Amino acid sequence: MTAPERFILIDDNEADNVFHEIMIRRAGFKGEILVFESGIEALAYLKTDPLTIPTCIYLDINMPLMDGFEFALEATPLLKGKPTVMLVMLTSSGSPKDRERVGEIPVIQGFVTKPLLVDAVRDMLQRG
Amino acid sequence: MQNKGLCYNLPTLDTRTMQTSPIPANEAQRLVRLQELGILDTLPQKAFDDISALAQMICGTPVALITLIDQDRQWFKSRIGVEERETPREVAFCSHAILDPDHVMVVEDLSLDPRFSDNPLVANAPDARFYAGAPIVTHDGLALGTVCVVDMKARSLNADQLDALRRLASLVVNLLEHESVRIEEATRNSEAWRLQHEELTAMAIAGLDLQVYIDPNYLIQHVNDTFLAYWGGTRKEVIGHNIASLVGEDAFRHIIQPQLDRALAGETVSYTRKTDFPARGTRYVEVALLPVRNARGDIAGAVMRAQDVQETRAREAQLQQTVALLEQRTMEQERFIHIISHDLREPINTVNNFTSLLVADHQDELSPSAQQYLSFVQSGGQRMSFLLDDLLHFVRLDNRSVKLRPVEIGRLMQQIESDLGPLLSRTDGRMECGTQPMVIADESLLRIVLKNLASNGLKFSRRGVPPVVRITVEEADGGHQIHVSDNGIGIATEHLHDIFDMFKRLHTRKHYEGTGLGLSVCRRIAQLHGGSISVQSTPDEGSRFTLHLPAAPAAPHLE
Repeated sequence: MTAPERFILIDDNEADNVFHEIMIRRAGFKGEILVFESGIEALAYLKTDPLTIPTCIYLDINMPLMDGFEFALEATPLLKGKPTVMLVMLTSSGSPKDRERVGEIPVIQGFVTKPLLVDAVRDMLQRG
Repeated sequence: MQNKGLCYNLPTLDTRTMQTSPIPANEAQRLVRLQELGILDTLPQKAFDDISALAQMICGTPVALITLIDQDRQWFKSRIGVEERETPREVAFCSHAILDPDHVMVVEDLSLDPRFSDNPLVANAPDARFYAGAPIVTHDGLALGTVCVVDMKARSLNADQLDALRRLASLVVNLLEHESVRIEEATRNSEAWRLQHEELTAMAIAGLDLQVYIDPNYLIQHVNDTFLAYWGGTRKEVIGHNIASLVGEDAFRHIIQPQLDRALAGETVSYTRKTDFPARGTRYVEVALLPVRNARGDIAGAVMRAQDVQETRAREAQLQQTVALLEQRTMEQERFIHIISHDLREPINTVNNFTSLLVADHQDELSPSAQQYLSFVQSGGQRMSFLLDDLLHFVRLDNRSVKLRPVEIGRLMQQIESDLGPLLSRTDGRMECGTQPMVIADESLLRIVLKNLASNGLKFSRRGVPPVVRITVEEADGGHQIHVSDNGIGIATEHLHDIFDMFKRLHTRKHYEGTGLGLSVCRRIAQLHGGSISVQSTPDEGSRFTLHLPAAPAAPHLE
């Protein structure tokens, strides 16, 4: 796993996206940050992307129309066998049920309770 | 032959000169036996009459008797040549005969015998002269009476005749004793039968179920009291009537008759129906129809038994309603948890996120009053966030199953110490936890309890005294007690009983932060382990909270 050179934020809450972007920048990241307010839009984008750039996707669980788990299942065929892409779930609750489901979906590689803070992003950037 | 009957006139008896009857030595037992045999005052029986007829024929006398000597009388079981059923004991020749049970008493001329010469039967009509009596002696030697013959002229009997008389007396004994056994048996049987009948009747009448015996023509033959209590009316009004007249033609033809016909064909039938009882109103009854067979195995009718299940039905319905309500409540609660965990948390997270950015990046640009307002927003937002955490813990515990494992307290306390790092440095506090025995508990739940208790110990410190929280484990009754002690402000005695209640706070937020949920969460968790939580405290010295974990954790229960 190489350090991410691109971040994708998927969250229906605009304020969270803004805040998370600030945190990523404060962690010292200078590269590309893509923001999607729905899983459907994000999925459409991923289908067109070659996924060659090392990417970290922060995915909110609780979203209308398509929640984070549905997104993860839909994206599984795209992400499988792509070690360059890292999918991390963001949850506002830390609910044990959510934790269990995260364990059941292999393509999900991490779990962070909101808010995403500078330290967590820094850890991510230091990987690899 | 009874035309030659003995006749005497009682008022003419001269009791002053007459010899009174002698009493045998075993008189008392003799009388008891006589009573036990139950022979006195019974109707004539052919077997006994045959014996007296034989005696008369063999001896050729006009009179032959089977006599029994009662307390005051001589009673004839069988009599030939005598009309009376009995005589006073005093005039009985046989009273003398029974004194010598082993021999036949023969008096060839009564008028020459001083024992009988003034006997009214001898002195007056019928002028009896000859007497021969063979005692009737039981197998154990009690002489009860005689088989005797009497003649109006003096005479004698030859040895064969005397022997015959003796044999006849012995025959009477056998008859009497056999008869007595038979009577006893019959009495016993009839008593047993009567008792059984009574018991069965009582059983049928007293049952709580409605019971009715219906014959093959659909006529009611028997009903019990409960049946009458439901349908109203008396036995007289019901018995002998067609069951259709009670239940109504329609109900009979469509519901009862088809089932009844099956029962009358030998099948046991059961069904449930709603019946309108004149005396009880509409009730649900469970009906069973049982075919009844006679001794030959033919169907003699059917017993209909109906059990009132109205109350059971009502309770069932109530129970179902309650279950539905509980299911709804559970769903509501799950919705509530969802609201807490997502819908409420998202906006407060946003407030907190951007407040902290404001404070970090723009504090200096704000006027002093704006800075104060901002700090209120920040602490309010944080408090809301803590409150949501605690609430979430609290409601989640309801649906939580306890996963028991050995837990190393020392390691757990290290984790808690790092969780509480900011609080420890802010309060200049310290946590102590030496080597402690392992406990059996749900680790993540235990962590919530110990973190709550430890942070309370750090928060409620005395001014100028750095807080110290000490954790010790003690084995008790095969289980464990985990003590969390502090050197803080302590709790006044009057508050000790209610500090575990929801939202109980003893202090203003300005002095001590907190949501008022922490200790009630701790108590819930203790209960989920089948244990409890208690506290001891001295104001201005400190408190000691104790979590009691039982040896074999009982099934989790909540209040």
